[in-house]
Amino acid sequence: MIELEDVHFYRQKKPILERVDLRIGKGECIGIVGANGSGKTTFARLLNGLLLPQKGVVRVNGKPTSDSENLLAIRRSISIVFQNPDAQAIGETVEEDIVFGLENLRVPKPEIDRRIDKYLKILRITGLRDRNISLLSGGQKQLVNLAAVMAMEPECIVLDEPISMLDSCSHKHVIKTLSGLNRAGTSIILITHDPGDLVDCSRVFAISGGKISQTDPGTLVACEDVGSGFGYGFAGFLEVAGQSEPRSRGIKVNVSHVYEPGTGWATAALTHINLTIEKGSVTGIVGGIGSGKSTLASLIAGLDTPTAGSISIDGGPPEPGKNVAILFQQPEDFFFEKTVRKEMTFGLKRMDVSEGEMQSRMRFAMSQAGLYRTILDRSPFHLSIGEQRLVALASILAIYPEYIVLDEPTASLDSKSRKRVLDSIRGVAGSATIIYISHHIRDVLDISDRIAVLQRGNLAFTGTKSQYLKWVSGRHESEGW
Amino acid sequence: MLTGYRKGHSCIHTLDPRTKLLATVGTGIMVYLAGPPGLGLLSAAIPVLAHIAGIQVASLIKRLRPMLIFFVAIFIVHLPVEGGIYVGILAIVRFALLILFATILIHTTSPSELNMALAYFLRPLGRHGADVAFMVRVAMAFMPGLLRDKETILRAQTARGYKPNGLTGFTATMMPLLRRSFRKADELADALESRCYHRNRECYYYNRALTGRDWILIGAFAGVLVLVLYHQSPG
Repeated sequence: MIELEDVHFYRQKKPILERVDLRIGKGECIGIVGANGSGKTTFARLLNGLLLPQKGVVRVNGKPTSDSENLLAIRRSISIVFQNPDAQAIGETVEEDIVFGLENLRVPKPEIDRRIDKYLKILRITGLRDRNISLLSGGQKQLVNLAAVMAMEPECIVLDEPISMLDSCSHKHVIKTLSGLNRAGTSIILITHDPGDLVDCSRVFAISGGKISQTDPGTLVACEDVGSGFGYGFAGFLEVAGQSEPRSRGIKVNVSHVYEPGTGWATAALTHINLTIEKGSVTGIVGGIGSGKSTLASLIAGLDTPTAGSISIDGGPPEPGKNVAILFQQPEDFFFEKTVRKEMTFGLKRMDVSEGEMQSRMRFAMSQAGLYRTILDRSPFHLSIGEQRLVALASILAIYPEYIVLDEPTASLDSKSRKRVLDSIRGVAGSATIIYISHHIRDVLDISDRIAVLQRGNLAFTGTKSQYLKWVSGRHESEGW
Repeated sequence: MLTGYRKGHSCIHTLDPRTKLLATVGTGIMVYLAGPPGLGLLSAAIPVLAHIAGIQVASLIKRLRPMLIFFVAIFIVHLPVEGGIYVGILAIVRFALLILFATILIHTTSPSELNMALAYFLRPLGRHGADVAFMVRVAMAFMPGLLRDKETILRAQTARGYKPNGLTGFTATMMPLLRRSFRKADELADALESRCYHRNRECYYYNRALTGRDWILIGAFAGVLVLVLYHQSPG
C-alpha cells in the first residue's frame, strides 16, 4: 500500500531522514519509535504528501506523492492524527469538526449522521457532540481529533503521538479500538514514546540519526522506564508508602468552580473540593480526561478565582510568582528571550533582586534542575526538548517559590528526557512543596507522598500511597476486574 | 467568558444563518443612519436579544474592553470638529453597537453555518466567493484558540514574576504568542489538507430551506430599513 524508495529529507541541510526504504502492506499495524526530534513527525508527513522527499519517492497505492494530481486520492487513503490537539480543530463544536472531513469526501447527510454517532460511541465521547472544542481538556480534544479522522474511514490511519494526554483508562481503550480497526482491515501506523502501545504491531521501526531500522518491540518494553495504568507494579510502591510526616502549614483548598456560570452553557469543572496539602510534601493529583486537574492547578496557583469557596496558602491567598509558581504543560512555548540566562532571570528582574542574589539563585536553580552552566549563553530554542523543559523548571525555581504546581511536566517527552525531568523534580522535592499533576500514575506513585484523585470534578480519594493502592484494589474487586 | 459560538436552541440560534447575516448587515446600516433616539432603541434591543440567546449581558459588555483604545482614538479624532464631544460620543456608541450585534451573530451562528450563508451570498463571485467564505470560517475557528493562547501565556509569565509593563512585558507575551500562532497556523493547514480539504468542497450538512419565520423577519427588517432610509433621504 505504501512504498518509500530511497527517501531523503533534509532541513537546513541537516539530514532528518536518509536512504529510507520501506514497504507497508494493506492492513498492517506498524509501530514507529524514536527520541524527541528524531524525525518521526517528518516521516508521518511524508506519507500523505504534506512533505515531499528531496530525493527518492513515496508511493501510496502505486501513486507518487510528488504528483499533486494524486494528493487528494492519497489523503483519502491515508489520514493523520497529529500530536497537538489544539491545532487540528476546524469546527467550533465536536460535531462540526467531524462533519468537515466528511463534507470534503461528499459523504451523504444520513451517512454523516450514522458515522458521527458510531465513532463518538466507539470512543465513548457521545456526550461531547455539542460541546465547544476550545473548552475541552487536552485529552478530550485528542479523542475528538481521533473520532474526526476515524469517521473518514481511510484505508490507513497514521497516529503521531496522538494519545499522550489521555488517562490510562482512555489510553487503553483507544489502543483497543485501534486494534479492532486494524483487525477490520485498516492499516495503522502508530508513532509513540510508549512501547506498551506497540503490542499489536506486526513490525516496529526505530528512527535514529536519520536512519530507520526494524526493531524488536519486546526489547523496547524491557528496557524503557514506561508503563501506566491501574494495577501496574503496585507492590514496589507499597514499601515507600506512609513516609510523609504531618505538618501544620500548607495549602487548604475548599472550592467549587463553574465555567460560564449563569449561562445555558455553564459547566461544573470542580464540585466541593476539600483538600489539604501539607507543607514540604509532594502531592500527586491524578484523574481521567476532563476531570478538572488543570482547573485545580490554575486555582491553586492563584491564576483563577474560584466561583465558590477559597484557597489559602500558609493562611494567605495564593500569589503567583511569589509564594506559588506553576509550570504549565509544554512550558517551552513561553520562551521569548535570546539566551537561557535571560530566560532564567526574567522573573527575578521584576522582583528587585540584586545582581549577586540573582546569580546565586540562578546557580541554585540550575543545580536543582540538573543543568550545566555551559548552556546559559545558548539560545533556549536550540536546546533539546528535555533541556527546554528543565530550563522552564529552573526559571520557576529561581524565584524561590515555596509551592510549585507542575501540570503534566513530562508530557510529549521521550523516556530519556522524561527520566531526566523526573530526577530533577525529585531533587527539588526537598526544598519546596510540590503539587504534581499527571495522568502517568506510575510517575505520580513514584514521586508523591500523598495522592488525590479527581473524577468528573469531584474529589474521589485523598490519602497516602498505601491507602491509594488499597482504594484502587478495592475498586477493581468491586468492579470485577 | 465568551469566545465564540455556543450551540443552543433559542429562536435566534435556530434562525437560518442567511437570515441572521442579512439582519446583522441591515442592523449595521441602521446603526450608521440612526440619530440618538434610534441608537437608544437599538441599544435597548441588545439586552433583549442577549436574553433570548442566553448570553449574559455582562460577558457581552466585556467584549468591548479590548476595543477601549479604539474608542479613545475615535473620540480624539472627533474632538476638533464642531460639537466634537457630542459627535465623538455618537461615533463610539455606533461602533460599540456594531461590535455587540456582530458578537450576538457569532455567538449564535456556528462557523459552518456562517460559511454556508456567506458562500450563498457570494455565489456571484464563483469560486472566489467560496474561498472568502471558507477563509472567514477558518479565521473564526482560529480566533478562540488565539485568545485562549494569549490568556495562557499571560498566566504562565505571571507565574514566573511577569508584570505587564514596558517593552519587555510586551515582548514576553507577544513573542510566544506570535511563535505559537504561526506554528498553529502551519499545523492547522496540515490538518485541513490531511482531512482532504479541496477548493470545490461544498458545505451541505447544515443547509436548510428558509422557513416562513425567516421570510417574515427578512420582510420586517427590509420594511424598517426602507422607512429609515426614507426618513434620512434629503427633502
